[in-house]
Amino acid sequence: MKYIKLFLIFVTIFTNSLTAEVSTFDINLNSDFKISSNHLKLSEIDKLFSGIKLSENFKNNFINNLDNENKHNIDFKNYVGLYYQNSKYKISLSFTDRIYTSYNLKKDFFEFVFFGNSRSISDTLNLNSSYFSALKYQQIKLGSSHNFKNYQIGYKIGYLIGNNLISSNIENATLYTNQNITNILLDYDVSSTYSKEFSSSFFSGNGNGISVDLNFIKKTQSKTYKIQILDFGFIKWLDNNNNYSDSNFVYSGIEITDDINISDTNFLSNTNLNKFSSESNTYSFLPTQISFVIDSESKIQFVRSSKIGFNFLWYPTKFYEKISDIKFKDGMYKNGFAPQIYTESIIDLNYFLFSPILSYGGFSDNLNIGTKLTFGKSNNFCIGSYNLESLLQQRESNNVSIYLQLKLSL
Amino acid sequence: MYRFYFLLLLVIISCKKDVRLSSWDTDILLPVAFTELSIDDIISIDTNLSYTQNNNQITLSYNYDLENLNLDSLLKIDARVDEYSVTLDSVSFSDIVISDTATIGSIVNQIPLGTIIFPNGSNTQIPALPSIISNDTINIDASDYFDFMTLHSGYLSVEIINNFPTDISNIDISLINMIDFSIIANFYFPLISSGSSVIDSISIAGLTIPENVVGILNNLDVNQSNGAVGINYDDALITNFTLSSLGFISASAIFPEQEIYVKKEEQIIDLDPIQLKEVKIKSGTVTINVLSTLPNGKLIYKIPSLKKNGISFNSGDIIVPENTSATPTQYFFNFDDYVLDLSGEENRLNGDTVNTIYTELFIFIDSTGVLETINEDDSFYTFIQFDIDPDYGLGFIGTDTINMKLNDDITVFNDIDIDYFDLESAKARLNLDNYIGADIGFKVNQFQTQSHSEIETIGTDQFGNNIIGNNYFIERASHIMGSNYINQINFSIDSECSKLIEIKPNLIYVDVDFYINPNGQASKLDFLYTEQTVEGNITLDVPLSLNFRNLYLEEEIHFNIEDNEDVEKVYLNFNNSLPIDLYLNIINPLNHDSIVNNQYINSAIVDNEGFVLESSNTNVELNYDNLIGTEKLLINANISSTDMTDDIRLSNLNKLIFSLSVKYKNRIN
Repeated sequence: MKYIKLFLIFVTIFTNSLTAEVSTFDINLNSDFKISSNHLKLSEIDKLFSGIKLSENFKNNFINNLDNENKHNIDFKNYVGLYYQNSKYKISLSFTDRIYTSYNLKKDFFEFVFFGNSRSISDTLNLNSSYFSALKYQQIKLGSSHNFKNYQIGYKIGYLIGNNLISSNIENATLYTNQNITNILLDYDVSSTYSKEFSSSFFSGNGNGISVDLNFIKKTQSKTYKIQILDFGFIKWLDNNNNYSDSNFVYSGIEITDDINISDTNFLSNTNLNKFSSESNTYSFLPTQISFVIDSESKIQFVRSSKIGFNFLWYPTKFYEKISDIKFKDGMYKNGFAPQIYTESIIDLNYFLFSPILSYGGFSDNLNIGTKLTFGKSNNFCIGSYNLESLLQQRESNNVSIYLQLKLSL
Repeated sequence: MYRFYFLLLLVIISCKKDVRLSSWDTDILLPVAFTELSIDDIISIDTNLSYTQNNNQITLSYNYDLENLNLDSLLKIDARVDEYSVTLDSVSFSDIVISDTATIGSIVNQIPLGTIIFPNGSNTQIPALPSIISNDTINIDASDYFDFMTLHSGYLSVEIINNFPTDISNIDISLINMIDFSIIANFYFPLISSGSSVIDSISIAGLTIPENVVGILNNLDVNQSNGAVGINYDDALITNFTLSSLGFISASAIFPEQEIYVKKEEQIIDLDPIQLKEVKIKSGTVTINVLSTLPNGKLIYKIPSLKKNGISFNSGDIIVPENTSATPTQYFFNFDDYVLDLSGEENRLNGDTVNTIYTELFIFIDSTGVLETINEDDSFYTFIQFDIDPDYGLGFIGTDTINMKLNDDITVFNDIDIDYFDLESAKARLNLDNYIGADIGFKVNQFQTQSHSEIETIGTDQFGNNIIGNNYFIERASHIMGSNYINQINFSIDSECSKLIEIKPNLIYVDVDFYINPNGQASKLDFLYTEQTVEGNITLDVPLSLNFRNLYLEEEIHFNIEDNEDVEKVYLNFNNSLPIDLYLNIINPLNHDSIVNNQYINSAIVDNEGFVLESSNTNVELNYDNLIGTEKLLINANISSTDMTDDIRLSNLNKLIFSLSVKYKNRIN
């Protein structure tokens, strides 16, 4: 309630401060839902959550369709933003609710889950460098951008309210079953964290944080160059349970002296088990998008503009107990996001704008074909998808997305 | 956590009404149990077995410790000394003196007007007074000394001391026994001059003197004085009655403490031919046995030869009660850790000797302060019993012969049946350590192993001598006096003994005679510590370089497998790094079902010299249903060494590892 009051006060002050200069005041409502994966089809998700007993055929096909690294991402953002813009500057205030899940799991992980080690005799199941995380948070951003001749510099400061974090990072994990099934060698180093109390309501936080957006735009006669860093920030979780397991052992069964009793509990030889829990501070970082975009005005009839963009994701997949433990390279490779290239054109068809989008990279290994349709001028409604190919592939599609935007100009 | 993700996935799964995680089966291959058969398991069959390893070659050792040669009996002292009997006829009694005093004053009082005529302090001539005293009674009361005495010797004397100022004469005294009124003695003194004394005595041997004797002064004349003499009423006539040199047949009296017997002398203990100068007592007692008819006997016993921490033994006063039976009263003294000097009395004439203890015995009549009745037959009989187990002895320990036998089972071949068994070599060693300070000779009378059908006897030693019947010699040990450190002498005999093992014996038998000082007494003193004499062991060393065929082993093991429907398969794996061919059968003894039938287990790969290069694996898959509910399994194996011509060599790295693993179906969700 207090946030709504704050918002109304802001609007009141803000509108009162408006000068007679030409300016715009927009309200944006967005909902952006994306599922991206390089392996998991919708039909497979169906089967996995249908409550049936999976057949051997399904399991075999599932495994055969896997790559060495198997990625999956769900990004669901709902966004409300207020913008004031004049010739000199732009001010914005926004609220975002976001659910972000991702994983990067080795093929051997699924092999172990579906088949155990029965198909891995004299072989090592390698689960190294895998992770899974699920994050839910709200974000309130206040930003400004300023125009300098041909440049525009923008920044936003965000306040984060963390709802839930589940994260598990497998630094290394191997399982070797020897030829005669007389020894199993298990070596793993896993850390995981989860919020003790599940919270699904807005503003009911298990943690707080800050984030920063930066953008730099250079305009030329026909082109606009933009560098953007979006959502660079962290959340400090208040009451998470952190678990660390770093173990290696050789399991050979029970050594028999006189009697054999198979119902006895396992006896581990050469065991080195280190496991501990802590309830200390937990820091996690937001998935930070780094973009380079070149936007060109088009001389082609009906084509307003074309842009080409490169997206990178900086997202550390593990959590930290001290913020100073973060290393830049932690966010670079393991998250599974391949640098993405996309093109987007805006075609003016009088009654609506048509924007075809081609993209390649990210969490998907496929070429993604998307589009947006924008209806209206100053007040407009946009609907789109980054994965129209999913309409053709239907349940065999790895990727699904839908984009909705409503913009009102006051 | 799942709720959060499931809510999300509601959108993904096209608003499905019913979202549940599906289930699937996962197969897990898991080792369950394993066991190893190696040389360590073989040696655990028999506690006498051990092994060593050198250059990848194991040598099995069968070890028997020989019992420590028991020579306690050589030093054992079990002797009876200081046997004495003392009778009371040797007891002396102090002289008894009873005095009677008659003053001039008492006599003057008897004379009419005597005190007027002869006043005290006057000078008066005393006239002759014949029979001035007659029939006067003198009480002689000896009740303070005795009740009665019957004497076999003794004297009664009467002494009269005349302190009158004038002579007396015709003194006639009779002593009367107041019991039977018999006259004990008559004494007559014709004249006793003034200021002089006379004495007369008679023998009272054979007489019984009661405590009350009356003396009758039959007559006493006072002679006329020579002129006037001073009259002093205190001047007296003293009569002393004395009993002396009393030797009594019986007496009832208050006896003073008096020593009646002393004996200080050396006691020789018969240990021949052993000649000991000193022993330290490990445990032992000295028992003083006393049989006394005296109501008031006492003894003190000292053994200057027996010391602990420099202090010699002294029994202190032992009050001996009067025995009522023929059983002596015994007094025990513990002498653990004492040192007994057996070289005789200190500074004895002719120097130290052996096997000799110096003792001192004192016997007393104790003064009780009350009347005691004793007679000449009363006696005091004592003897001392030594029962000593020494810790060590010093001297000459003799030339004894001691036999030692070893008759022990060999169990390692009990449960196995083998057709052919050939050893490349084996060594028997008889190892002896001599801790005795004396030369030791020994002879092996017998050294053999036996099986059910065969006997094999040991052959020659490392010097080429036939071990059986050969005389061997071990020099004496040495030690530092005053310390317990002994520098022992080791001696061993080695012999090739593969034939003794190849018969697969169940018994080993060894018979050895040991001779102490086979060359007689040496110039050095022998010493012997009873806890450490001759220690020895017999070792049979068998390098495991061998060749065998058809060794049959059978073992029943208890096996409890519960019905577990998740188990699909059971796998047996044999990892064999033993150079043996093995045919294995596993049978359920309850229903005789064959679970594994004559399964060949691959031998390890060996090189030309019989050493193992690489182990082999054999896998057997079993149906789990056949094992459910099994309580025990019978396992039998036919084993042969892998190469029929050359010997195989075993090290402790060679083993047969038997592993059991399962394929386990795990249902996810």
